[in-house]
Amino acid sequence: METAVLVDEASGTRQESGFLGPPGARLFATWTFPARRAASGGVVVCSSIHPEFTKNYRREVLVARALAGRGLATLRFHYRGAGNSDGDTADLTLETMADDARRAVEWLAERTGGGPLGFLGTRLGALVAATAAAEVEGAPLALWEPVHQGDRYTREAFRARRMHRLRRREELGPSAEALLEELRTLGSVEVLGYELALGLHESLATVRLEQLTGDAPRPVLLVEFSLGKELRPDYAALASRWRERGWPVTASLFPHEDPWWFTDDTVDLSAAGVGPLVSRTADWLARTVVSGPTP
Amino acid sequence: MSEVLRSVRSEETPVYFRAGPDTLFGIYSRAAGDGPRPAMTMLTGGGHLTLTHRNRLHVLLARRLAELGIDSFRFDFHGTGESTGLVERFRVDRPFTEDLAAAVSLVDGRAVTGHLLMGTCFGARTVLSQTDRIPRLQGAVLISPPIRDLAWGDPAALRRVLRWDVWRRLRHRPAVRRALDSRPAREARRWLVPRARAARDALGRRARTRGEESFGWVGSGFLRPLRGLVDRGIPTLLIYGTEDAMYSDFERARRGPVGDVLGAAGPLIELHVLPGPVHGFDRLDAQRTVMDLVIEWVSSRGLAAGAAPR
Repeated sequence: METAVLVDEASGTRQESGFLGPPGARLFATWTFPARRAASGGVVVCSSIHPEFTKNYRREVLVARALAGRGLATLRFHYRGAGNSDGDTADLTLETMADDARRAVEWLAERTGGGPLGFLGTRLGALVAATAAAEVEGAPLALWEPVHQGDRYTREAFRARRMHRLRRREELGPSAEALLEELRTLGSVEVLGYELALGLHESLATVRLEQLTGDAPRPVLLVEFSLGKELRPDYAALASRWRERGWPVTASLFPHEDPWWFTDDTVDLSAAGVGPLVSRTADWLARTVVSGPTP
Repeated sequence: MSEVLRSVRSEETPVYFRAGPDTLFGIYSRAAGDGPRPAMTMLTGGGHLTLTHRNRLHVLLARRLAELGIDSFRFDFHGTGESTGLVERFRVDRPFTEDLAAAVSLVDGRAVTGHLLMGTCFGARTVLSQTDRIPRLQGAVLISPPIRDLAWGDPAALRRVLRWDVWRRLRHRPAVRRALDSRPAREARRWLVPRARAARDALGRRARTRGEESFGWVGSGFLRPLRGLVDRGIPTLLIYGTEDAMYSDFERARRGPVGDVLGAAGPLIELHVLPGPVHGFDRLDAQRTVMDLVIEWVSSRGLAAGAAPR
């Protein structure tokens, strides 16, 4: 594998980026390590896709660098059919994304000498992270604004499409039900410059985050992006159910509004804007990954 | 479009490279074969995009260019993607010239016959900021370039930024809320807003009544390098969407100095105005059409592999 290497003295990190896997099925991946010491563990970052991939990209990079500063290695990767990786977007499903995450887990475990692992899943990536984490006993799971019911992803996308038309003073266009029918008939629907494929929708349709996480207890960090003062009801209920199973769940609000599907590509990356999210996530992962599986 | 991805006739190499105080990340796509070839350096728009651009536009275009025997290089601006640094604003009047210069220098080291540059919006203005400094420039693709030298490129963008960005930061502060909801503030708005609108309308009417139009607002950061491209005889592909915020500025400017440049350029500048929005690439048809136009343009201009440098 050919990688490009960046050693950044300012942040004390070593970053390696490259393509992994066989031709035609390569994943683009970036490792971030502490520059001056061996990593005491690792975190696999499972990103979202479509515009959410872009919106969170830099935040995920900053978390990786913050984790390196706390002694943990990180592996971020692009799914097949997304980003710089090989493959066709039309072939993306939750299963292919989970398979890619499993490969990432293997690669990171090799580089960290089998040390403890944790996961960060952002938006749709939460479902991928949960699937991969379920195969690693007690692995901590950090979730940013997780999609916890798979069919909601498609519905949110359709809602965003209709709202976008409203903002442009156009007619709303087909209803969500009509768009679903179009998806079933044509195999894909365009949403704000992205192709939402039937395969992806079907792979998400009946999926529930708490079912994917399995039964074995693990620490969970649940972060909602909201200007409100309380966790929204469905997240609060999700956190409650995990706690009832004896899982240590930390719920957190990141005071930020992010219309995930809309085309304002500028993200507030100021220290005040993203600092609390990055540091809180990195601190939590550093603490829980190193402390080992939940007894 | 999906068929293109199945045959990857290029070798993609990741690379980190210095640009001023920062280290940028890019991916160099080398087309198959050993023959001479140019390279297209692709710049995204402003905003925290990654080098893939929206919906993998740059990834797909790189692979299509490779099929024509053209190398390509896509990279993350400083403060974005995998690059180091921090950037909070993308100002049209402060393009990232250092980033592009470093990228061009890297591409120069890859034994290419010449450079093609492609940029969207802020990226297009960054391209324009460097075109007179690249000796082996063979062509430029400018997608929705803002005409004005305003920080945010166009009044609509400025309004959006003022509404969304500054407002977002301030509006939740209790002191700000109290101030804006106060009686004096409400009365001031009631007095000021209609007068400001009336003044704006009166100025517009006066210009039309006189039958003259002032073009002082046309940015030198757009006009001068565009003239420079024409003077050097460098083919340029210029694309707008009819619903792009900056297109109305372009149309107005065509009645003045931009029209003069286009007239002098003749077929050297190929202009395409597509129905609907292009800026932001939030429509698949716009993405596909722009990619097709770029491919057709490089092919028809003889810019593909084997073409001699100008």
